[in-house]
Amino acid sequence: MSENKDTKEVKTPKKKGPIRFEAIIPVLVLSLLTFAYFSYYFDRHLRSLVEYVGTQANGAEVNVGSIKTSFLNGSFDLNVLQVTDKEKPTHNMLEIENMHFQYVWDALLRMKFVVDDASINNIQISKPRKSPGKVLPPEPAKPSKINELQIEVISQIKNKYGKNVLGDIVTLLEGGDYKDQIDKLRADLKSEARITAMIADVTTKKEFWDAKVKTLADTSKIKEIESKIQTISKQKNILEQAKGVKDLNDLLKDVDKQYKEIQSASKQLQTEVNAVAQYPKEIENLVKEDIASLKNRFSVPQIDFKDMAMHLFAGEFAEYIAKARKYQALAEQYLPEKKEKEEVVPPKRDLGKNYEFPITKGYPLFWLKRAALSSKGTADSYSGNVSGELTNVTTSPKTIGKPVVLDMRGDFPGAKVMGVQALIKADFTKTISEQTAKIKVGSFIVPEKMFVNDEKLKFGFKNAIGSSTIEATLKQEQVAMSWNSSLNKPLFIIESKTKLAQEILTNIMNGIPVITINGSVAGTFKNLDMNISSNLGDELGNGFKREIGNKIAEAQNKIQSLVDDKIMKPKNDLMAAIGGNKANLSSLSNVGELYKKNEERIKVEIEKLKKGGSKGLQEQGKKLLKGFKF
Amino acid sequence: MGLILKQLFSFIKLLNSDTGNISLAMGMTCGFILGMTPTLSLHSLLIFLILFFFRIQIGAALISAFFFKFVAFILDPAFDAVGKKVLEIESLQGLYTSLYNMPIIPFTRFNNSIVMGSAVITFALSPIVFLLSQYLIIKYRVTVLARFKETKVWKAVEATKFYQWYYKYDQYKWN
Repeated sequence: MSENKDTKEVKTPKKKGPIRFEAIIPVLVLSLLTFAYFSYYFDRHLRSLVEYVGTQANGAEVNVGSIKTSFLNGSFDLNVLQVTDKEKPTHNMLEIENMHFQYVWDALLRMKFVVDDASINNIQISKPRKSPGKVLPPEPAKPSKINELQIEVISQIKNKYGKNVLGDIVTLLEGGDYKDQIDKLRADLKSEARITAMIADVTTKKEFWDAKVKTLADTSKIKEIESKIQTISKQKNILEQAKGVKDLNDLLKDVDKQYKEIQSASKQLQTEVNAVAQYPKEIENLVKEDIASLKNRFSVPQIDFKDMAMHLFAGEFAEYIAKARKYQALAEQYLPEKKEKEEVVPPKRDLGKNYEFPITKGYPLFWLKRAALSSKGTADSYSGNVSGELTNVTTSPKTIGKPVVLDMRGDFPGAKVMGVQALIKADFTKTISEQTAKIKVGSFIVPEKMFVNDEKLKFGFKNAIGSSTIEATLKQEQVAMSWNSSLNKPLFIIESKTKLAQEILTNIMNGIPVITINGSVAGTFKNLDMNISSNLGDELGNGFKREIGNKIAEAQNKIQSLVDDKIMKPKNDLMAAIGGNKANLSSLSNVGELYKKNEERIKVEIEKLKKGGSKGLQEQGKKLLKGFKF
Repeated sequence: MGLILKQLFSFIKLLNSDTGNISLAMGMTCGFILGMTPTLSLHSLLIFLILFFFRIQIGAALISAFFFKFVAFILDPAFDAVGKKVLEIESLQGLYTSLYNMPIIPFTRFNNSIVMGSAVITFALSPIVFLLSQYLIIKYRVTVLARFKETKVWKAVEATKFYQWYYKYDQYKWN
């Protein structure tokens, strides 16, 4: 009995086999949980992640209908991708019904993601949403590097061509401004100031010469000569006659002195009259200078009508260039390898040396070999008739040696966008990357566009049917782009308070059934050489040139007449003052001649007295006095 | 230092326990491979899976891996030299190229000189290490442990209430 008890108490432990079965159960449970997560929850979580990342990147709500991944099949399916239009949240900018990616297992086993064939089906644009999409608020405090690059391009062009040239023209056509300007500038006219100074100068001189001529033309001396000659000729006494001759000699000296003084004054006056005679010419020159100065300050005639198209369309073209800049920067950021070859860094001792063997079957980290784009649309749907393919999108273009190519053709009848052709190549296989794009849109509805929209003028068009081709080549910082566009049947909006502007614009626009725009830009993004020509610009330029030419002529005449009005009176006063001085000169000349004659007569009388002929002397004296008529 | 002593005491405890000789020797061999080869390689993962699914003493593997890491640090130049020699064998270049272009295999990092050198040496030495460790464990248990258990001091300790209580607790804990 006790033996049995002992055998019951001593339990020999069960011998365990080499496999640890107790560990397999937890592993199985863990594996089942993982499997359950990836079967039921992973796709949902991935969908939420795609929606969140997409919304942040787009700046407006991105919705994903469903995502289905299969580990065993290596497939990824995304259904109903809706990308809200940031500018118009009631609509989707893009909607894709289905995207299918089939991964290559061989690459997945190497931790590489290679999509052999993908399909993107039923692409729709501008489709109304069931409910408006949420738009994220902008982040003004922290502009991204990409935004900075775009702003750099846009501001460069807008600074150059952002002026409201049509507004300036309307201002001129209104005609009020330049008159006001001239009135304001009148006080500053050089000619007027100079004339005032000239008048003061000439008046001073006239006063001086009036006084001088009055003194020199004093007749008392001549009367004194007459009385002296009479007195001397009446003398019968020879001694008295001899004394008379002496007195006449003294008188002769006085007359001679007076004559010389008149001669000197006359010369001086002549010089001054000659100098003053230049004043009218000087005034003419000053008037011309004043008119030129007014024209300069009156800036409108400097408008360059050749640049009209640039001013009208530069902003729009700048948006396209900025977009090209954005996509180039994005492509450079994500597509190419950072370096041509990794630098050889000597490894630390304990890291050993990594041997590189030839890659006979290698893959880049990500490689979308080909994605087919296809979509069938109807006239009443927002789907497009799209066909095309996207090839060789990869993280290592140099490894595969092929450029990324998007070749797409399609129509979007719902959005009335027809004849879309896009051939975009991004080649990062060489040291210097190169991207080319040719995008052509056969026809599309051009929304309302206002060239000028201010108080003075509203000018633009409501609707038009457009077609456009953009070609671009981007090579590092170098850009070459061309933009050819035509807008058919534009419905122009012309509203101006100025009748003339309204009339001119209406006349010009009536003759333009098609607006053509041809633009090109070349150079670096920091220094763009842009050129845009448009028949709208040319027509506007020619029309305005004609009208503005007339206006400018009118303005010139106005300036001339205003200047003339201002200086006419002072000019006349000046001329009168100058005329007065000339009269003084004439008087002096007359007086000088009288003194000269008297001098001659006195000499004759002296000779007679010396010969003794008193009668003759007296008669001569009488004749002389009669001749003086004093 | 405390950590090293702790590991050392744990190892002595394992040696003194009833754990099978083969299980302990296998554990030490796996630890030898884990310790000698760089951790971040695919074969390390393989060793862990073996440890997990087979009845190999995990504690012994981790403790021996800990100690062999220090040895490996000293032996790195030798591993590097051997690895270079092996990777540069002309006749094997084709094989290496194929392996390099195969899926999964490149994750073993076989193209690294230290990984290759340490793997070649440790895998070559692992049977020896297994046999040697097994021999030493048996020898230890038969000579050192058995003799120690025969000493009066140990018998006195064994006779105490405290030891009996601890022995029961230990049995309860491990069973």
